[in-house]
Amino acid sequence: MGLASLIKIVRPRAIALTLATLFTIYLLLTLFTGLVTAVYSFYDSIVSVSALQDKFVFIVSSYALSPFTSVVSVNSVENAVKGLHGVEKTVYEVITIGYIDGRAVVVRALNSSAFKELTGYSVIDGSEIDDNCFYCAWLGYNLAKKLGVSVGNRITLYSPFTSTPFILRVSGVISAGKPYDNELIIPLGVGQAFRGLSRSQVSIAVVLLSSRQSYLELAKRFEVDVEKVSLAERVILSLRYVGRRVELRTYNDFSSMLFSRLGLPKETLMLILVSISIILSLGLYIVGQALVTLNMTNILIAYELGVPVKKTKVFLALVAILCSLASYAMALALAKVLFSLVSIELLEHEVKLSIAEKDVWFLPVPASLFTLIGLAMVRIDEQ
Amino acid sequence: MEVKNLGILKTLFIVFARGKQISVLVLSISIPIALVTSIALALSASQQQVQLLTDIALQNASVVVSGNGFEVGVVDAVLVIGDQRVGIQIHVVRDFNAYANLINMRIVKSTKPVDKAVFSVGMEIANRFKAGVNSIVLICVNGSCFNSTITAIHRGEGYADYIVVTNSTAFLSYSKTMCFSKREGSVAVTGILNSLNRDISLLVQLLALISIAAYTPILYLSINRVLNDYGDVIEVFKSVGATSRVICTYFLLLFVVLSMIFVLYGIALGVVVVHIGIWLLRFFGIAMLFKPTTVSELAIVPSALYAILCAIVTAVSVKRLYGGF
Repeated sequence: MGLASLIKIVRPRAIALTLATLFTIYLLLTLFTGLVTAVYSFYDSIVSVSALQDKFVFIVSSYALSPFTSVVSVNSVENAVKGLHGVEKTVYEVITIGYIDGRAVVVRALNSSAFKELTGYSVIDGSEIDDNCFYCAWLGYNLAKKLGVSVGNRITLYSPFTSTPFILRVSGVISAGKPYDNELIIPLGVGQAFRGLSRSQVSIAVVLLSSRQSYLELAKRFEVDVEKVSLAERVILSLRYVGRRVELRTYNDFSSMLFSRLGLPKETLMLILVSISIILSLGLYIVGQALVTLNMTNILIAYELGVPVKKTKVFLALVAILCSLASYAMALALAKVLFSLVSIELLEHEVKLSIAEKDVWFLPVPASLFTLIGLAMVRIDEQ
Repeated sequence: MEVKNLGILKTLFIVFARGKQISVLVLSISIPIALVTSIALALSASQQQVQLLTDIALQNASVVVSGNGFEVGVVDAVLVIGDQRVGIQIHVVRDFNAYANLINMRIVKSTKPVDKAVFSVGMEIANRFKAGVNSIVLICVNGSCFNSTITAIHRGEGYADYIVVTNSTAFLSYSKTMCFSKREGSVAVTGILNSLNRDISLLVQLLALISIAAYTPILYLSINRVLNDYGDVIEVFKSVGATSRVICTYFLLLFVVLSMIFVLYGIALGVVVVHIGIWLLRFFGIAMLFKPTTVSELAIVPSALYAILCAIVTAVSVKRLYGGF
């Protein structure tokens, strides 16, 4: 009654069904996780300054939920960075959503010299960004293609924060890399008007620092516990603008919250992910059970021949773990290929699906556990 | 013969029930349907949120560019004050007061009654370039320049602070006429919400379809697995004179009914799981503002299609295993 008799218990068809099911479940789980991760990090990808990898970047935003409704006082940020050694530059930006020709687009407004420094953009067509042209707009290369407009065309832009339209002339088409190529760029003043802000308010402040020490000192000034907030060198603060100050506050106003989520219904995605995890876990539980029930005839024969139930179950558990790992490896490999090939579109931005490294290692653990629980719950001795 | 045929159906069902194959069908039919149902329900909660925001937006009026309405001549010009140059937009209107009323703009400083010739500069422009009323500015359009005296400074919502509004006909020949009209609700808010909702809905529907498609090979394997157990029974049926056609017909009938039962079970499972999910999210401090209420066509249509797919897979498998119809 060695390993050979145990191996005979498992039918190849049962293995095929188990592998196919586990592969499908893992693939779906990875795809859904990738989608939620991508949508969750969408806002970060819009506010983060990807071109400055060598700098310490501190981004001040009022709501972590959405940069589109964030309001930060310029004076508050200036007071916070005042006298701080190592501050290279503070860039103020307005980032919001606009509506143009049936599409929701990201509208960004900032000083042209700061934009040049941050992105090193180049003009494909038309003129350079001019801070003193209050009827001008510059389109990212991809957005211009999608909207089908070129230099000299007039566009009518609607803001969710003001009741009058902005009739702007396309003065240039620029190439500045992601995410700017999918955005509409306007002078800071017009952007503030578009967002319904005064001249002393912006959406975010990007503070460029020369050293980690300065970064930690600035975090301390904002009363942020860096160790708790992020292990990385970058952080998006969840601060709320109150009066003329920036404070850490609980976010509790219902209507403000709804408008802050104007961008994306994140809680819907969370609910989908939780529900799907439960259903797929249930599926894994049934896979575990099916591994026994599909081989029941052979298991009973082996039992009659003297193979103990415990030994059979341990063997099947081993088979389940091997199937689980093999399926997961295949599903992950296919998912990564799909992630590199497929992208989703949000607010005219191309968003690539991605999965965090910790999720890669975490996902198969509960999944295998559910499969093993399902397997353990079948009572072979009662048969 | 009828009794005999019903006997076949009964025997097929008993073999299924005793064969402990329920878990296989739950896995291959109910689980994907539960997935689609939960996605559809979560999406309905999101749509309720969008509806609320749209309703809030409807409480405000907004000005839109339309085919007819208040005529405004739009001119893109360069304004020169001292040694400073700035690109500004001039709105040329016949009735200044009516336009001010339409775009919610008010005069904060003026030299004369506003029903006369008005050249009103937005507050932001005036502040930036320290221009007051009676200041003389140079306006250049398409190479032609005009001296104009600022007769008023206005303040308004949004873009109004950055434009010049005039009733002077001097700029009319350079202008492009556009029509402005007032509309209930915010065009931008409803447009953005609908656009985002469309993006998210498409994405989620795609995921629902992927889920169904991914489960199709499992469905085929599972139904084959279940049908394999009928080998001995089929031999018995054939030995007592039942034709392959009759056996296959009853197989199909049984599996169509079973697939419908498991589809309904999947829908119920999806509803329960979504509510467990809401409870779990609330437990971890994430409150769902809206509760999913109805199982929409997003769940019903794929479920019906999946039930049809079950019938097709059964027919193909039965034909392959036990001969044709």
